[in-house]
Amino acid sequence: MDTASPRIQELSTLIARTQSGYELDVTKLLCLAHEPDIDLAVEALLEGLPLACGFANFYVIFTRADADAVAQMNEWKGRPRNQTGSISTTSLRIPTLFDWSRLPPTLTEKRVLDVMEAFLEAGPIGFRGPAAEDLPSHMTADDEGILTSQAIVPGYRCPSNKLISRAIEKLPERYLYITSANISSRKTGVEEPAHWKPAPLLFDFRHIVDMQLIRHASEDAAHAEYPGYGEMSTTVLSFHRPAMEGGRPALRLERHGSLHADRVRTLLERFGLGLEVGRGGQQRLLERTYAFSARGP
Amino acid sequence: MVRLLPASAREALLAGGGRLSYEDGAVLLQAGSGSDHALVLTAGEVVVTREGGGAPPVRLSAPALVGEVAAFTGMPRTATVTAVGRVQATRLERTSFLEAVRRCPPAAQALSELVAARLCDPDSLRQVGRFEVEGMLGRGGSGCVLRARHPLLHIPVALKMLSHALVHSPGAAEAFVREASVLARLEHPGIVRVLDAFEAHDTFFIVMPWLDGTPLRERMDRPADSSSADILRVAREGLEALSALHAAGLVHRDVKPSNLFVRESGQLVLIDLGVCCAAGTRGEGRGLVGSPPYCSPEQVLGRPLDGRSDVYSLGCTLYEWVYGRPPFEGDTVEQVLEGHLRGTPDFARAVPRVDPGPAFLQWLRSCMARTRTARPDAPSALAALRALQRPA
Repeated sequence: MDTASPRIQELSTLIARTQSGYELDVTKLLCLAHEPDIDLAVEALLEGLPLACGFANFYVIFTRADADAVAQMNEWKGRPRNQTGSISTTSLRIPTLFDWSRLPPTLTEKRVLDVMEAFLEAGPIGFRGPAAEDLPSHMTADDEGILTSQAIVPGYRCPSNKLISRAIEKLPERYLYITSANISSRKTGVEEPAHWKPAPLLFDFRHIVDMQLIRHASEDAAHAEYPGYGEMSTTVLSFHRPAMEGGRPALRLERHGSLHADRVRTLLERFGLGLEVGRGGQQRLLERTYAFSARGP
Repeated sequence: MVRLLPASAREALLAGGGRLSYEDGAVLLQAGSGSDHALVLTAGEVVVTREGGGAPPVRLSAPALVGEVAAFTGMPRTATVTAVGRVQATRLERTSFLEAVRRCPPAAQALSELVAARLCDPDSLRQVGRFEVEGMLGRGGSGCVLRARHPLLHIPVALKMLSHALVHSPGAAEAFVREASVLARLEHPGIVRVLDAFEAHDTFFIVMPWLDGTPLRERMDRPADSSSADILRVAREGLEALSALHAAGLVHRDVKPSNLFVRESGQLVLIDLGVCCAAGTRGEGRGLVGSPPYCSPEQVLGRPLDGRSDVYSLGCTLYEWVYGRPPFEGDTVEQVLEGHLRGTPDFARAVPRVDPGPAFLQWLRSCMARTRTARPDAPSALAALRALQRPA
């Protein structure tokens, strides 16, 4: 029986041993602070490899957005192969993911775009709205008869924007598939918060041998950059169905994630909007805790 | 070697072994006998007498390990071990030991060293398969090369023994056999031929013809004897060989000065194909196959490889020949690898030892592009090189 501790098992997945027995920590190979590293990470994405990537104050996994890549990643995560994917793209292209002609009558395009701008200034966030017509079916979901798309973006300050931008310049799609860096609870039987440390992430996804990883330059700096944000998947706001709160138009809280609902409400108030809490937003996501150390590499 | 195993594996091995007792004068292990186990002496003393009488008997006290070389290499025993007084021992089975070694690369590497040393030992059998071993030619990360002789034809051959650390990785044995069979059919003057392959001592051996000449490394270390024409010829013949290898669907993965051999005729030959793999192969685990000074960025990052990785490695080799040092240096392996990932080879300030001209250096720079998207494959690099050499 293998009696090695979980910590040792975890480390063993992060080590690439050279032929001469020298051991390398694979989490330290690529870093978002270096331009050449971003180029190499982009190349991996273009070639169809999954990429774990520092994203604001936590980690996500990107792949190309074709149907096969999304289905394969769903399978690796333990989800149904046909589960709808979320989209990531550059800030400038976010509006192209939505069909603005199908907004509820309580909202205008300008108002929603202004709200988006404010949230992007603050940090990572997700938006769900009426899907642009040209999006493929594996990137759209039906919500009571309305076809929707969901964008997850890191906010303006994150260096991963550069990576996303360079990748989509060379891809036929104007977006990437993005998913939280966690194994599905369907597979493990318990809620699996997203990872915000690279080593345990790679350990959980050790079944994807050639998964690439590009880390934050400093985990501590990445967390300090977004004060008040939890280290978890983003909060998601939707604008595809009419929502009201206290008699005024509102956006709906679809997922209560890294940005607390109170702060969302405060931001929306600047635009005369309220926040209606949807079914999925009633309980905040869990933040992952690590047994070994709270911070550090 | 047993000490290299993790403590848990070592304890499990010893706990699973049978406990044995011997009276004074009893023979614990007999020279020439079968070798399916070793003994860990837990109490008492023994005398080890080597067959042939060349070496004096050696007295060993517990705790000690005896009979391990024969047991772990599968070769016949060459010494007799006799009890002096009452002796207690634990029997270490070959199969359990090898199973533990398979999970521990440093121990597997040590097993390779042990097998090679035993095959070259003048007091040993010096035979593997049908071949008589004459000595060690060299060691590398993927194994070692022995000089041997065919017993009937009396021709010298080179025997490449694949490292136990490599052969024990999952799927490696099947991949080795598949690739050896492809190489055996490859006939190209720039690729060493594989004449035969066989399994022995828990690993694989490949049989190659004996080549007269010198490794490129030796020529590179004598820059005064090198000309730009030599460099151009090696670049051209290296790419011709790589083009043939890649066309067969294989990637060498370890192109470097010591794996390029210059025959007395001047013909360059690509040798040491022990770690080559099918293009696009996805690894079974994280590991860096290749030599850090010559590894491509995608190799460092553990990605599926194609022929452009070998072009990069050949580029690093040529750079070293031209400038007298590898493109990226450092005190640690990490620093060297970081150079491949983030560094830019210095073409601007470095002074060439042998100057092949600016057009060649521009071409070399393209072969060393960081992203493989920007790097030519071997046939394209060869075409570009030939265009450089064509008279205007």
